[in-house]
Amino acid sequence: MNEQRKHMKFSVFLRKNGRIIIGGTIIGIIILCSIFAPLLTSWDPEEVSIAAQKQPPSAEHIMGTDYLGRDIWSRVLYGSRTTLLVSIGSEVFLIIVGTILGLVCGYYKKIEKILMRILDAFATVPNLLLCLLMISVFGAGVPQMIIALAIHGIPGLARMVRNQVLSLREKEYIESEYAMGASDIRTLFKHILPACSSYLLVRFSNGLAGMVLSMTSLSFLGIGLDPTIASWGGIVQDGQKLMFALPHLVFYPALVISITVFGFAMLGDGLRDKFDPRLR
Amino acid sequence: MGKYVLKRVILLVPTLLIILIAVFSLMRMVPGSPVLALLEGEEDVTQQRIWEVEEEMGFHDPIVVQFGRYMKGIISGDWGTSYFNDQPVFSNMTAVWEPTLLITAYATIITVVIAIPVGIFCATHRNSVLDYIISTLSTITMVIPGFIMGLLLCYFFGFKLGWFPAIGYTYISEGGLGKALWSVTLPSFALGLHHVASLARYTRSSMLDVLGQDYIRTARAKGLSLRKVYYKHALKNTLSIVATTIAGSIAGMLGGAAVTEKVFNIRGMGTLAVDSLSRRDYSQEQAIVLFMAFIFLAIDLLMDIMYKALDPRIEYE
Repeated sequence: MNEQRKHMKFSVFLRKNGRIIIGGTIIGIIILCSIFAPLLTSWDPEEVSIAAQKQPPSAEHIMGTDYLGRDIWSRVLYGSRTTLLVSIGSEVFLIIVGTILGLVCGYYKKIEKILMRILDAFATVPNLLLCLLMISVFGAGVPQMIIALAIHGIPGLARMVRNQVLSLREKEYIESEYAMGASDIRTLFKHILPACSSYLLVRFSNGLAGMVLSMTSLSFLGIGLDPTIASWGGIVQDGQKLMFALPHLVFYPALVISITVFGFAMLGDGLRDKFDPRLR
Repeated sequence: MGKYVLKRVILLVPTLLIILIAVFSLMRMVPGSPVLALLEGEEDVTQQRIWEVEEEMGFHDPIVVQFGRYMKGIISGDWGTSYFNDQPVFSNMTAVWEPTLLITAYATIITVVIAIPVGIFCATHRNSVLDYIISTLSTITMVIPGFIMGLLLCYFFGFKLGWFPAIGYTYISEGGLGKALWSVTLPSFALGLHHVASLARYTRSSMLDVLGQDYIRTARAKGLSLRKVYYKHALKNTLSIVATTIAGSIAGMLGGAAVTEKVFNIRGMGTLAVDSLSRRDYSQEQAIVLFMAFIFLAIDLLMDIMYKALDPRIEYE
């Protein structure tokens, strides 16, 4: 009986958290692979070898080699570092800046109108084009890319946070906080921000899949990073020239990108259902 | 209705002004003088010469005067000259916009025609086998980036099966509209499929929302058939919700054009934007950004008006 109940509980747990487990495992493996990249391959991702050009997958090169004889598997491994760094970094940046702007807008009515108009204007430029514009002004590089990718999402997030703040401000415990003489800053960071935190967590995990999509698209276009640095989009771009003859050049990196996006999407959906069922 | 449209149009003015100011100031923040790009062919470029050309182009006037001139140019249709080929940036743009606009329009039609019926079907047949299959398929299309979808379609339908042209674009003036559409079928599907999945999901959940409302129960209680309730009562409200998200999809498609064009080797506005960046042709770059923003605002306005027309309950505060 006890055994059976235990079993029941486990299956309920699985059903409730299945997506978090699947997504978390995929992302965990990918992050571990990118951290321990040097242990998982003996090839230098930038080593050019004319003798080993355009090889099909073999025991030596498990994903084959590209048109310069570089090992694709090690390029994918090292490329995951830039891709994950930029995607996760820009989602963090987006959340921080969006939250601060949202809090300010929800609290100071005068600033709100102007700030919201400016943010809305930025949102009218398509994401990829905005990134192009930002990178043309601030130059290529990882920090620039992080900011460029984040900008388009900031208005939407700021608006959501602002709405949350506006509804929270009406709550009695906030009022009593004021009655006791608390400052704006204290109320914002001690009471309102924690109340928004589950929403922010859900927004963070949901946004990651989209960030990886945008990041790989940008690097596929060859924008934002030094072309010699391995990144997932860049590997696909290199492979595209020879795709008809050697489809494996595109197929494996594409598979890795899709699996990563799938992992982030699963994780995001699972966390959303768990922490914020209203958004379902 | 007329009053609403007027209000909405007036509200566009500050947004447009902010976009113009933002693009104008970003272009002033670009490192290095744009004059250097102009003087590239000349030998012995001295500081004196740079100063003269800058003076000639009005770079030393007060910033407000410069902005006024810039605004006047935008309004009168003179958007500036490309640093790259000395042509007006606007005519550079019109030379390549045909494939981009055609692909976007085609992809939008694909999205709407497939996604809305599929979404409604899934909502009315909730939890059926087909609903599960469709939702799995839509997850798969949503996690595959546009450029990979493009490469897959290009490889299988363009190269292996040879059903459609794998790369390139046939201009309408060369082979007529039919041939042009034929040549952009794969790019349009590559661009559209991602949006089909998200729009179908959105339609499904909106339709389910609507079906849960009281007036639907009343309609059923009065003895209307399911079919009538679905297609006569629920559909109209669902569509008015869904219409607003289509504007966002179109903006995403226009922005994503660069990727699709690169995959299928088509010279369009997206390619022009990327190329201008690599050859530091900022005047061209900002023209494309402005143009896209204008298109987006126009579509957004149109969708809002449509929303209002479909759902008279909406009040604009």
